[in-house]
Amino acid sequence: MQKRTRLSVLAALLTLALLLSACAAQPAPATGAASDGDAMEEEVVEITWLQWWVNEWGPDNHAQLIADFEAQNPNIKVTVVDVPWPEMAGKLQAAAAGGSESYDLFGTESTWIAGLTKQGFIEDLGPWLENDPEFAAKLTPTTPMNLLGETRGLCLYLIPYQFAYNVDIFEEKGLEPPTNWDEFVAVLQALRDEDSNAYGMSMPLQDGGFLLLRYFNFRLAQEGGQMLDADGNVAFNSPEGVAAMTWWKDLYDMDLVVPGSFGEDQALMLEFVASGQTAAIIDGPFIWTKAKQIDPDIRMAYAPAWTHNTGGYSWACSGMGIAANSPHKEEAWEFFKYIYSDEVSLKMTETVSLLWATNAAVDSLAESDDPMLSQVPAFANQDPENNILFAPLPEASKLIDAFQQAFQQVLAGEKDAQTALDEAAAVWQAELDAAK
Amino acid sequence: MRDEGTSPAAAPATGQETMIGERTATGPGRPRRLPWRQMNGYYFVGPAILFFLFVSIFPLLRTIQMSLVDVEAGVPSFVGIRHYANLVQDPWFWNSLSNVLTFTVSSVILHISMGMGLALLLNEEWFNTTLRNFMRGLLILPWVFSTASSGLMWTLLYHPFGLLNYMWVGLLGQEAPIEFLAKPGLAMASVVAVNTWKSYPFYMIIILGGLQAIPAEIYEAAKVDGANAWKRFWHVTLPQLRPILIAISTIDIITTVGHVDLIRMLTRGGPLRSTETVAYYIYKTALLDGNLGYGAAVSTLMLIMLAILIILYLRVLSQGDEAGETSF
Repeated sequence: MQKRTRLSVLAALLTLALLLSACAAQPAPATGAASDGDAMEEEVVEITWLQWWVNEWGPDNHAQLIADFEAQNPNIKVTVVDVPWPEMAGKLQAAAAGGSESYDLFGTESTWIAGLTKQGFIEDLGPWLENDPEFAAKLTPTTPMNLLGETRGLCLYLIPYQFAYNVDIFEEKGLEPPTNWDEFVAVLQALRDEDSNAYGMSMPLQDGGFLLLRYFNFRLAQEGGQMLDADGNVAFNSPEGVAAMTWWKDLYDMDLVVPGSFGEDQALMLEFVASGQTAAIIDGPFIWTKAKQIDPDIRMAYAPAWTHNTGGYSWACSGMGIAANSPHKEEAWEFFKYIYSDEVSLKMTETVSLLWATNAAVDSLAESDDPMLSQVPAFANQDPENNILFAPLPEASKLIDAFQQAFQQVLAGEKDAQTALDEAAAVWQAELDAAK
Repeated sequence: MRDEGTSPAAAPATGQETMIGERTATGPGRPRRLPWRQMNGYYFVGPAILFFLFVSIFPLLRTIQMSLVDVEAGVPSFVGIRHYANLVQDPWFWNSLSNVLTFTVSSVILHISMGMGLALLLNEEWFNTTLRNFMRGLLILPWVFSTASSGLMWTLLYHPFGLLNYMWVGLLGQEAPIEFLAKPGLAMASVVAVNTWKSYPFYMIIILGGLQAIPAEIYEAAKVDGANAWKRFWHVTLPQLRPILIAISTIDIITTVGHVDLIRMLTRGGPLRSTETVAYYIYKTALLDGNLGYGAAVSTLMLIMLAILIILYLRVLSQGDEAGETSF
């Protein structure tokens, strides 16, 4: 019996050991020279890229990019993990929280940078850029995504926000694209038809970052205001901020945007535009590529750059970062150099209407005949001092939540613009002070 | 060495020497040792206990540990109860608690009452058995949909351009569409309606199973005693279903409190945070904002509150019971 007991205990221990060993971290594949020392071929390193761009860029374009890179770098294999944009933030934060080593590089928005930095998940790219001045010289001044003095990512493409419209519907109705804010309202009035319950534009307010960039910041820039002042303190509760908020409140009350804005998200908005239910939208240049995936024949164009008190525009960017715990940072950096190369910049700017955040791409717009991108240099250059670039913020989600609350409260008539903005500003300033 | 504990000679002479001898060979003067047969049970349940420890207790302890820690630049530091102190002063936490209370109470009441009503209907004798079976299948249908597809479907149905508003404006001639998910007062009711639609079939099936297990003789006896339909329901059906109702309502409370997916699909906690439940607040704080410590503190507090609520709920429902009637 004693023997049987010992055997049983031994078997249980073995089972437990097997279970534990199965849970143990896998050893990282070697990245250096071949260990056997003989004439073994150079080992292929696999880097994993977490991002949401396969559909935005088109699956064929995306696959071709990877294939071209692998052809140029036969010792690096790129594995793409494609996640829908709405799931991306959660996926990244979960990876950061768990200290995952699954991803070597990833797509990121400005608003996610702070959380990833807090978790120590995102590499400071400052030293990499310093060591590679030739590469750094290819990037625009606004390409680095800086948080508290450190470069935590690089903008991949720059996004200006402007009034875009369905060319066919405008032609059919004999409408000209607006050239100022008053004409913008007039166009929406012309597109509104109470009998057929038709609206010119929808205005999704479900996402705080979305409404901040497309609506508030756009008007704020043209009023002459800024989100933060030169010292990094909150400035959006200024008279210009109140004027911007009040303008959107007035528009919302005019019954010119699709009802249900507070419950509407980007996906629905895109469906409305692509299906022709609405004819206009305020968004980035990529909206045409997205709409074409629903209706390949849709024709969209930007209204020409317009001005109010200033000619400033609201800008944002989507970018890329490298995982701080990646064992393949060198290979990831090689991929960065490829994806920001002149060759890729020009190709992507031309084929998917995205303004790559490189000097080559920006320069190429001067000769562009793209109905969206050809307008972009004017947005950038007509009043650069009054442009608002949405930069990474500490506790960004909390700040955006507070702003969304203020915006919705004003539109719902619960608070006046000054009170709501002051309350949001207090939340922002407290977080900014804490970060300093 | 001989194993005295299993020796037939050492066992009492009861006529069942072998079996009993193995179980009770720990008499005075003998070495205390768990005999083989007695250990068997532990070996069998061991893997399950290990699995339970791994998937339940370990994450729980880890969550509690995380709630006492803050992470800065990837470096954790012990902050004691700071997250809990902040939590008590956080108006959005109390807002989410109030929302989840409304969401849960209304959802549970609607799930059980709708499940009960339809189960009673399906338990009746129908003039056509095929039709009854068809209706059973039809009524179970919402349960088949994934939460994501249900959320998407109802988002489209609720939209001002959606089917419901098409009927409201186009057929009924109303002036303005109903903003189901866009008005703070209406959004919660709309989310509860979807949650009810999505989950009632589960409760209906369980209750139907309970109804079919009630002996027909009890109803016959009640009829003989002159009980009408209502009295039969109140004095026979409900008491007989009581253990099942307590069990499913407890399950429902726990499930409903934990809903993130439905809220995420329909409203993302809006408008004006009127549908932001505690589970969604945890998701937002921990996974979207990256504040894992704070999110863990909310989770821990929520767990404690839910445990107290469930214990109180079961105690209240168990009061006045006859022995064993409500045990499950």
